[in-house]
Amino acid sequence: MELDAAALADLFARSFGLWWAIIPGIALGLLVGVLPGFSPQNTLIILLPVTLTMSAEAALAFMIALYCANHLSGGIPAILVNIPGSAGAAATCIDGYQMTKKGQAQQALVLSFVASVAGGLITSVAVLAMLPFLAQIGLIVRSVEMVVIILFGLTLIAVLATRDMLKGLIGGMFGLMLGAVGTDAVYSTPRATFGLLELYDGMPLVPVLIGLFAISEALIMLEERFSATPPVQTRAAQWADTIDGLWISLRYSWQIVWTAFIGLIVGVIPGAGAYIAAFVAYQQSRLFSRTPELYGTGHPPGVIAPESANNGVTSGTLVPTMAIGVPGGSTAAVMMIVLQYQGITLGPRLFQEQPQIAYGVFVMMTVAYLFMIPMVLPLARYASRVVTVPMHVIVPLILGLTVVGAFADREYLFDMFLALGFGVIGYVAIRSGYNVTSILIGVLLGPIFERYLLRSLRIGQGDILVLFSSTLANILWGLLILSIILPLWRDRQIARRARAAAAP
Amino acid sequence: MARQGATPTPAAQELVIPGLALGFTVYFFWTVEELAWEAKANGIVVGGILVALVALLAVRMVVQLRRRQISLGFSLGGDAPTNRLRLLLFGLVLLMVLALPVIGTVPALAGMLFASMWLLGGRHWPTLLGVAIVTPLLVWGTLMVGIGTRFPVGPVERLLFLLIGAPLED
Repeated sequence: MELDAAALADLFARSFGLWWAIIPGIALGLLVGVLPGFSPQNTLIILLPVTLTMSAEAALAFMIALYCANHLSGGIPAILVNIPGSAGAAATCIDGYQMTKKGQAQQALVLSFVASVAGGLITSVAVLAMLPFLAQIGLIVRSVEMVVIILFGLTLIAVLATRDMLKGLIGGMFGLMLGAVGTDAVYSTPRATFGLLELYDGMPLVPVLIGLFAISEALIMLEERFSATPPVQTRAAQWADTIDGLWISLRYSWQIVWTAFIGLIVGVIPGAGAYIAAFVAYQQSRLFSRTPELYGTGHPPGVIAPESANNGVTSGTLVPTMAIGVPGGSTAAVMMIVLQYQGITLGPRLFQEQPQIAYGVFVMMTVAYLFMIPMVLPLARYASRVVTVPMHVIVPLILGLTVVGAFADREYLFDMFLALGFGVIGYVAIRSGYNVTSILIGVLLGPIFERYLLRSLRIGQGDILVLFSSTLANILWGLLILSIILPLWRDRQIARRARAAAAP
Repeated sequence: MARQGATPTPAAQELVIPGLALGFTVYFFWTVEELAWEAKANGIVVGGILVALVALLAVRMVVQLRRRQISLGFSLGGDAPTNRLRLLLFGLVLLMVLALPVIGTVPALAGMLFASMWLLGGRHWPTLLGVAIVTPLLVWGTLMVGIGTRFPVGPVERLLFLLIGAPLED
């Protein structure tokens, strides 16, 4: 399928036809984004049984709409009560809450909505324009390169998403090992199944996902009481404030564009994500500003930059997921699991085998942002009633609904126990500084890694050196080694400078 | 990096995940010992890297131990009352899973939600009852009736299916 005007029009028509999945996705995404504690991946996990019964396209439209809307509404509690609804909105607190304190809550919300929607729209259209080039990856990349790409992706996640690279790598490799559970592809002999028939098909992804993300997070949330800063008393919302907010957004429109691209670029790197993108954009915006001293005092670009960037991330995160089959973050990993259950393997071949999905994802994202425009602007008037659900309700709900959801996929009681087991592993992992995303992505990519590795080894007649037989693979190996060495070198430099500064 | 003379931070908990990973890798190697190379290759490549990484972590920890930056104490953080709460909560969820095949999904989930909210300090009766009753009914409506997932059924589900006149699949 070539991405010509007719094909694009067809994809847009199909995406608009999925309004019944997109609109509830947006509504739910907006709602959970406002509730601190409910991450988009947790919401998707709770709704897994529902999405697994939908068609692949509808499930994808629903998940994407929820994901994008969640990135947008995370800024609402950040602005109004100084608590980010999602990690990506943390930087929004800095100037957003100051605007609220100055009586400009409504303007700040409008700025955040406009920057989010425009940032998301601009970057999803930009990715659409890049897709024909990305599709070429499938023609260049072979099994040998895929082995290196998977290892490279896991390394990047370990480097960027974890504080300790070594622990991140151990987590990723542990995940890859767990992904090898089950019967082998050639002789169907069971491996590491503990004699359990339920593991013969491999490690079931849904209970692993539920355990590592939802249960562990709920157990950790017990320590949080969401002791929100009391909402600042704002005067009654008026349409004039909304229009004022729109006018300010227009004045800073160039800011929206370039910070959105920062989000896109950061999002493309596996393991980076909205949190990093928002802070990088905020920092860059301040760096290039003529009035950097105003940042932190309720300056509009301080709201625009992080919000535009964290929505630019939404399309960026899906680029590696679609193009090389390595999810850029935890929500992308959840989406990948749902699609795998639908029989869709993401990765370089997707553009040849199921172009309607590969291209459709970004068209759906564009459509979701278009649908958001009429939905979010009126929201600014009513968003001031932020509700914080108490911890004693949120934690049991997450635990109960996700554990029950673990059963829904294969209808094995065993999967619920497995989810609880992985919940304990996830809790210990988080508490001891290991990253659960890298473990999950390891489990997710384990069978795919094995398939490519075996194919490569067969081509090389069992010689492991086949992994170093192509120029592209060798370049990727080089980048992989660089991505390990550079952070180590940088850390040593920082430590040396700190020692020098501390010396009398 | 901790300063000389500062209290070493407990770090034994950092060995749990590598320990699990190593244990699992050894078990994997044991189960594939007599299989063809195709069944072993992945485990050997990934397991090999994993063993090397864990060895690096061990070396790093030994160095930190000798510099007195870390100790072999074990701590997963959190104060004692919160940890007790966490254990009890986990026990309640485990109890729910064990009770599911005996009493059915709706009452097991309702009981777990009510008990957990109570355990965590919820005392607002309308919220406790509302969440504990409405959520399992929503699960029944969407997953059991809507999607047709065959969750374990008990007397409550049988009654509910009877009330709506829907056939109950065995």
